[in-house]
Amino acid sequence: MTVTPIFITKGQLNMDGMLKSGTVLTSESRNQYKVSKMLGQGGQGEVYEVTLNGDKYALKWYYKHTATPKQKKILEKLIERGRPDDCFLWPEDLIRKKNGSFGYIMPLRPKHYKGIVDLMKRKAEPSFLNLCRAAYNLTRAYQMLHKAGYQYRDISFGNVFFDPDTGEVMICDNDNVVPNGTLEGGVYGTPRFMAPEIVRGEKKSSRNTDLYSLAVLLFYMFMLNHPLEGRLEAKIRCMDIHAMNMLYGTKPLFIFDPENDSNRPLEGYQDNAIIYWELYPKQLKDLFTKSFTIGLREPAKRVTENKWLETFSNMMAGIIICPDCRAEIMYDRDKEEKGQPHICWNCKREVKVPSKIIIGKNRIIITSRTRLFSHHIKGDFDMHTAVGEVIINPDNPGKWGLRNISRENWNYIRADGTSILVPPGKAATIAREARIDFGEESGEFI
Amino acid sequence: MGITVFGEWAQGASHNQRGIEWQDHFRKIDYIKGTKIVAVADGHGSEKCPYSAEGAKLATRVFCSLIARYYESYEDSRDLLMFLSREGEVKLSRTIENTWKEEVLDLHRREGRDMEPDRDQIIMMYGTTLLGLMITDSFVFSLQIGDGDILYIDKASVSPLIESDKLLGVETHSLSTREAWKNAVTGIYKREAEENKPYMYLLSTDGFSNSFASRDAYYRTCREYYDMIGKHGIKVIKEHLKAWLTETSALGCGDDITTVFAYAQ
Repeated sequence: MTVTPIFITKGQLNMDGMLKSGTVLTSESRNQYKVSKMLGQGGQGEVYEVTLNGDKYALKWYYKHTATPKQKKILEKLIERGRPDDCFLWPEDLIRKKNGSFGYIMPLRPKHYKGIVDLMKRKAEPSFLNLCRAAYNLTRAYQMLHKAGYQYRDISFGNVFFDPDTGEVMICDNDNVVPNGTLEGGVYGTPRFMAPEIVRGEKKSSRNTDLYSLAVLLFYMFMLNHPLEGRLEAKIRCMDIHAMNMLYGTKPLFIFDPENDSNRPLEGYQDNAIIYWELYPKQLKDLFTKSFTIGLREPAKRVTENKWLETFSNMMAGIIICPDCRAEIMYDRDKEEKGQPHICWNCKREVKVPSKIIIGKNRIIITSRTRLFSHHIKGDFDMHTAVGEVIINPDNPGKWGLRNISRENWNYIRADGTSILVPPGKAATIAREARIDFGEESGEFI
Repeated sequence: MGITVFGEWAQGASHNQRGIEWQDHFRKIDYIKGTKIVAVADGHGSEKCPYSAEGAKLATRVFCSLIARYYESYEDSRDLLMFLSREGEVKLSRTIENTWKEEVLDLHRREGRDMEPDRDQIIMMYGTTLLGLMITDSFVFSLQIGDGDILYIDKASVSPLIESDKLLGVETHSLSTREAWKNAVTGIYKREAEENKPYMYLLSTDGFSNSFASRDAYYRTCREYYDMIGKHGIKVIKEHLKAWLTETSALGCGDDITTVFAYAQ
């Protein structure tokens, strides 16, 4: 066999499962779902594509040993209360068989959504903007889940999917979700995403342990590496359960711990972490450092969803396009304050930071595609509702404005102190030291 | 569990004529409890890969010993199932790749071979594919890096357990590439051991399937093996297997062929 080894492959499981195609199942709400095909298998059960009146759904069918009365009770409650956010592929209907086996119906994940493993294998290559959006949407979804009084218990890269072209996310495997504070129940997931206190067997899962798992997942998304997998992991020849307990439970050490460099990523083996860590702003790196230093030891001091969301919204608003090679560069306030240049990671040329509008904690870079969102002027974490957009005067391309596309009037205050009303649909000129009073917040162009 | 694992290899007709050594390798581990671990590897055998037969041997050893260690370290098979389904394609595949590469470099050093080329070039000399299977009494785990086939056969069907993306022509993914784990495909098939007996898993290097004019013809032959084992028994098949594989290679693509059968009755 003559070989030129090259990249990349993916296969699929191709066997019948517990349910044969064509089987018709009647749900608790008297719907009749027809099994089309098996989509995959996991640790708890099999997932099938089913149809109802021409619409496609997913059905998760439990193995005998996981089809417990406790699991069924959890599902009944989840179905009764409904999903906390549209991102969740939430249980919608229950199907039971006389022999005690059961499953649940949920929306079907669109095929163009990719997993975090696809990201790691470079089968999905979102822009930095969409990566930040995905991180924002994911964090927001878990925040909504926690606000609804739930804990997820099993955050890992196996149950999160995202659209590389939009940053929209979908979260599956929601059948392990239980009310926060639930003490009974086993250990879920694998040690790599579990909080160290769970790996050590000291604590049960909670909202706090979810926050840790979320931080690991976010680190994976941005750095394509596990936050605790540096030299120590590289030395382990067999990553068995004992090694994992040590690495993720009894002796966890962040690969970029500022006070202990003994677990730095290994060149040639953990290159992703080395490369990507340098690309992101200090604001993000600080949150990761807190998550995997103090956050390893003190669960109550873990980074909250709001902190992540503030950072991601700033990152989304801080993407600069390199004028030479069109690569996306992350604006880093820390660099600017220290007088350090922004260097394009791709062409290595210095990139000048454009004008900004500073609104409270938000620093929004002004580019021809900049949009302001409700969160920027109200701090409500709504990054979907646009309230302002940059426009360019067609008669004078050097003159840029910010159009009010909200429903509120703005007050534009020039550098000389004179002011003018900017009603919805009208634009204010972008000029240094001019300010806009948005109502709850005001912003200044610099 | 009543599963018998046996295998055979035949040196490719074209390799025989050119005096090239056999580059495939297979290995199995039987546990008293009934769990079977099986691996088949196919060394690339090109000029750039002069030690690929040794690479293949190491690959089967690494897979079997690592999976055995995982198996022994998980007291509850359900936890192992969860681990393999979540981490098979990432953590486990990466561990297999790294362990194999370290062992390759150790061997290269021990044998006093030329250390002038860089690390990647040395590893390339041992390039191989890898097929792996673990059969427990409640699930089956399979892993594939590169070409070859892992099939499930019972009275009603012949179907691939997992499928690797096909590359053009004779090219294949390799354990020797950088970040080879990204090319790993894994699958978990949850099943009761007693279900649909007799059934059979068949692992084979690409020399086997490439010896047939079509995929259908290949599947038909696999079914014939299944039927023959049922009719004549394992002993008879084992006696003739090498001759049949040699004939298949001679009439087919001329490549080495290795097949491993795991037959449950």
